[in-house]
Amino acid sequence: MIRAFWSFLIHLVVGLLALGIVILATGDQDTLKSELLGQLFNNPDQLEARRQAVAGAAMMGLAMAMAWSWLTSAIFLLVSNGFRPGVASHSNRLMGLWCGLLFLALAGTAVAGWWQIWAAALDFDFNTARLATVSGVTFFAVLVAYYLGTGLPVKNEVKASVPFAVLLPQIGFMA
Amino acid sequence: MTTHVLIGVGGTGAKVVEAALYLFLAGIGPRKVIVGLVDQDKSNGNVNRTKKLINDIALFRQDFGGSKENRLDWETGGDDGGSWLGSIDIQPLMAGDPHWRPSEEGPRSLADILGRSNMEREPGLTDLFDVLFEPGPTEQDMSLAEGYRGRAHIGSAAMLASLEMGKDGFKRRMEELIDQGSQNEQVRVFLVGSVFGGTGAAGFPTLSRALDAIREAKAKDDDWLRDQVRFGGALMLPYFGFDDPKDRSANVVRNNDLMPQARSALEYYHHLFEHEPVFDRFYVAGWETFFRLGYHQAGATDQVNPALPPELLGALAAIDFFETDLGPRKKEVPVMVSARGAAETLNWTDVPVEAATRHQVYDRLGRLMRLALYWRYEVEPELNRRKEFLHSFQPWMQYLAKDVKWDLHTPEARVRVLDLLKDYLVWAGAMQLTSQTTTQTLNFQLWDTSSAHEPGHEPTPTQPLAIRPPHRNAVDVPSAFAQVLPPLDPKHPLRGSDHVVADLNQKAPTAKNSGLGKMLSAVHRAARPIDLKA
Repeated sequence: MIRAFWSFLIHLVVGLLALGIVILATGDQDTLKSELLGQLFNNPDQLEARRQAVAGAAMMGLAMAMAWSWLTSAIFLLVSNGFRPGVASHSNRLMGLWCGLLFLALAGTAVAGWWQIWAAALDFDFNTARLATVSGVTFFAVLVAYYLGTGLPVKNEVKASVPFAVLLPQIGFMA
Repeated sequence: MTTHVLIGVGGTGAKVVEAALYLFLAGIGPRKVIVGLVDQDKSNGNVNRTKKLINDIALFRQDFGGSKENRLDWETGGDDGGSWLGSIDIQPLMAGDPHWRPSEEGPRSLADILGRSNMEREPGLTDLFDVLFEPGPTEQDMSLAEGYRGRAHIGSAAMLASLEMGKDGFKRRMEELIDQGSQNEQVRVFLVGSVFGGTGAAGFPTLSRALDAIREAKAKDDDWLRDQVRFGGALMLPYFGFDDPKDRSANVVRNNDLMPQARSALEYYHHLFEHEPVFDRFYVAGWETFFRLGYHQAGATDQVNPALPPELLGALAAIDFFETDLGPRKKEVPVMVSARGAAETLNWTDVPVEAATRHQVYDRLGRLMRLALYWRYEVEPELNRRKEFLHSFQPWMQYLAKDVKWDLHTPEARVRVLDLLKDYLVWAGAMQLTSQTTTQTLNFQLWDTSSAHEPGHEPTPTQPLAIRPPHRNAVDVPSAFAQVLPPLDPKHPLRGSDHVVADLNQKAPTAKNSGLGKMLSAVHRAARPIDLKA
């Protein structure tokens, strides 16, 4: 389905941008908590291994969140593609579904983060400020990717179901 | 360039003109038509309803043609972003008024018009008058305030006298129009009236012969004028009947008089055409089983009859006459006849026009009907909600209503569009309902507007239905769309209301439409029943 493919491309672009920020945010030893840096002061190899584990988990969490977001947006696009409003005022009838899937996308992001970081006990290593930054970037990326990934490729008849999506440029050839 | 003139004679003529006006409103017919109504009965309800429609269409054209704020592009074709809706310019026959009343000052009688009191100066003249017309209130002194009351010979004499002696502009105006034939313009005049009743039966032959006399007089100098000025006529045979009045002495036409009157009239026309080929085309429409209206009306404002299918046939005859290549004039008058496939049904294949025209009529009348439903029950309620949060953030509202100046001219234009579309639904719905209720057998299959009918309305003979107000959810538009028009060809299913939504939400060429005209044109286009190019 071409709309889902467009959504995939949008998620890919947004994901890559977010990945760049995550790489920057986890690229040095300040990624780790200062207590850990103090404990392993004499063991740079282990420090690097711990940093790489944290960075890898952050990137994996981002990738999982983006994949999940794409899946939810694809579900929305699939449903909306089959929905033919009988009158123009029914164009926003899928807004509830859109909001529900957005909630699922964000919840999935939270689950991915928990699984990658907290379940793996990496939160003890992760600098709190950097963890907050990476988490924020991931959630923001999911939000943007889901919004653009649904608002841009969705067919015009149901565009009103994506809040303010009419203000986005129209991908006319797909309409 | 051709000048087209359509004249309805009498109450039935006015109803045929009414049907023609809806065809014109839908964009069927030539670019400009001059419309006139002839009726002695100034307060005739049918005539007044048609006059109101002429006025409403003129105001509609003013709303969407005169101002830059709201404009429909009538120069560009409807398939290319322009609009057929209201594209035909309808002008009244006389300045500001389409209605010509032969004897203006009323209530008068034939004796007044012909000056019976002065006849005594000429020996024998009064006796001749008494031989031809019964003295007293039955004929000579019968008030003409409510028309000719089925007495065609009185009407004919009164009308001829008014034509010859009248100081009003009807004859002069017709001479002006016929004169245009000598200015390298073709002039086509179409008369329509009934063979039964009073004004139509009296006026139709009188006017047609008078017009022919004008043409012949002018053709003495310019022989080729005969090919330039063409007359067509549609004669409506008896197709509906009233109950006879309870007062047996009432001076009105009765049901039993209709068929003998029609027979005599047809014999008259048969002989007339042998000697005077007045018409270049002559159409005769009737109906096998009368529509029994079940009440009696003498005339005046009481005479408001619901629309009936034969009037649509009469209107299509006018379109056929205006649009057909007539070729050189012939000595014989071609008489056009049509028949239904089955007596018990009326469907689109019974519409007596060529296949291509039938497609056009089906498409444009059907489109107007679907526009009426969509505009009244979806667009208008949405326009009223345009200030609600998130509501304007719909693509179609953004594309089509962005440059509407809501406070300037638009409120009046919106009201007039609503009223015009309501009148159209009433006209179509009345034709459908009356067909179903006043005949035992007719299965009306042209359209079905019942989804828009007000269920609580108590039907009366003259107002068989009311239309639901234009509120949100007053009509289930998808169901109404599915019901309103049957498919012309079962191989091509009709576009549903979901297609309208899809079309409205695409950026499409809007030609030179502007303001509310952009929205109206887009909805009208999207409401098309079929993709003709498909």
